[in-house]
Amino acid sequence: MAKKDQKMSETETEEEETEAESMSESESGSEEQKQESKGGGIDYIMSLPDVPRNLPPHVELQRTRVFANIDAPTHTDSIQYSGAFASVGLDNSFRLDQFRNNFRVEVIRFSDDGMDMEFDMIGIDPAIANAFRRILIAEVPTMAIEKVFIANNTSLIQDEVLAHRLGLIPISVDPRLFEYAENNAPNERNTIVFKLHVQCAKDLEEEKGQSKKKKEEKKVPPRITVKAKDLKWLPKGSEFYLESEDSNSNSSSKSKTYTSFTCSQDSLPKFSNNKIGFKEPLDDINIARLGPGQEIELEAQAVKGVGKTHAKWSPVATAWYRMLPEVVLLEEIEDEDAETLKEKCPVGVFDIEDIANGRKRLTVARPRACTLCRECIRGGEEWEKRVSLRRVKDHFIFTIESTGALPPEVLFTEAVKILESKCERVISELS
Amino acid sequence: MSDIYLTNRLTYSLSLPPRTLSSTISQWCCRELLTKMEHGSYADNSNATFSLTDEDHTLANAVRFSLNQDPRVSFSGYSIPHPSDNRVNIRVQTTGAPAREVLKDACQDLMMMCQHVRSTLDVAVADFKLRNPPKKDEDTDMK
Ligand code: SF4
Repeated sequence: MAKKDQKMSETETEEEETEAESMSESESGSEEQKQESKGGGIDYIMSLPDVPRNLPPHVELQRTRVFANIDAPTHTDSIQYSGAFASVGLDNSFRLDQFRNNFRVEVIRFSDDGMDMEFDMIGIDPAIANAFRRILIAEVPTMAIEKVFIANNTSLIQDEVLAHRLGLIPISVDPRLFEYAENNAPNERNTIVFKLHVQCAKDLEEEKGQSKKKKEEKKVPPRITVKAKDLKWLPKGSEFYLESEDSNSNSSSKSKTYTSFTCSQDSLPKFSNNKIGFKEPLDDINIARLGPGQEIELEAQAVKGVGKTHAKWSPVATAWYRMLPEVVLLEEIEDEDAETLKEKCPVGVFDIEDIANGRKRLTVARPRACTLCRECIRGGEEWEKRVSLRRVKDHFIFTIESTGALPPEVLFTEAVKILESKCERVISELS
Repeated sequence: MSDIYLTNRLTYSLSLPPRTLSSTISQWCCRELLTKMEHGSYADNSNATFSLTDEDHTLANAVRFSLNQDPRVSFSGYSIPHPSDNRVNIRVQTTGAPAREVLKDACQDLMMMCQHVRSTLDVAVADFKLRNPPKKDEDTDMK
């Protein structure tokens, strides 16, 4: 066995040399295969630790890049099948150690408020990157207003429209501190209650603190804009009493309300120094405009939910990814052509550098900015031969815009955890 | 509060009817155990279709990826029989190993990948924050 092993490794080194020599030749793959089949079964070869892990360069390029040609993109598929390269003696099956070695995350930027994040995820299949994206949008839970109890609404905006608008306001509270309400009665562990009571002054006389002179100047009747910050958190739960209670026993000391809180939420340690409400820029969201004498009085109950039930529970404004663009100059582009090409690109991917004798040469300065609009390869075949536009199939530029409930990196971690729990569920149900 | 208000009081449920809502929620709690998930022959357990409720492309496509990467799998694919059914069928055909075990391993692989993604991201974010300390401490408070 050891002898055979040695022999094999000799063939291996030879092979590597031949491969290195004929890197540009397309037949290198089939040569490799012939040599390997001489040395024994393909399984045996694949079990060796030093089997060359390279495909012929042109196949490798097609495996890892999407080509954005002028007519259509080509090689868009990701090759998943474990035996896809069996004919050249390569194993395409999943190896965790290999994944661990190749996988990288690079954080590119955070916005100033820490709610937008861009990062590069390198070395992962689109199937999984897409699963993360889908979970971020549809399955990471948040709290959102689900029930609205309207006591009075004399504003122009209809009850149902008002209720819908309220539902869409993002609430800055960690949903992990709450349970799903399911069919349970609203209590302090699954519901947040907000109260909104706003009233616009009847006419100018009623407006307080206005001098007579000012009143005359200002002939416009009063108006109020109701903002998200006007929603006040009721840590003790609903203040509206149930109707039945009213009719029977007004005398009873404790009438029932629409929620059954056993204690005040602000007495719980998790909320005592962490008030529930609407964070800085988000508290400025318009809910309604009130004219003279108009009034809105309501209570809103927020519960935990997920984005696939209703988009108001989606924790992200958007979560998306794009593959890393790659712009390759297939030949040196100089002088006039360089100027033309630089002008063609609307996002400034190219730059010009001066080389000796006052000549200019085109360089690819900012490939990441490329939108693959293909303007640079338009205008005749000669341009297509000069520039190659590609995308790296396993490099994802991921952007997450959180709506404020949780910072984006936490959202992503939660999304990954959810995919894990999905797998766990399948495993446990099959066992 | 006066009684007039009470008669005006309206309740709006903003999302899908409660029945649909509760079915989504039960998935989260993993309470809804399925009586029959695997469909295949008793004699030959190397081919089977697994019918998962409350799942969609998210899991099925990811699992199909890791199934396809398993050398024991000769064919795998998934379909969603009807868009308004919360169900996805995953077909697994193997070269001999029990399909059920192969699917379990595929899920296991996926979980390991997820764990690695999670830890890598945590390190990358911590690194980034160390290099660019935030102006306000707000987002660290949120954690
Ligand atoms: S495809 Fe468009 S954005 Fe990209 S390099 Fe060409 S011209 Fe610029």
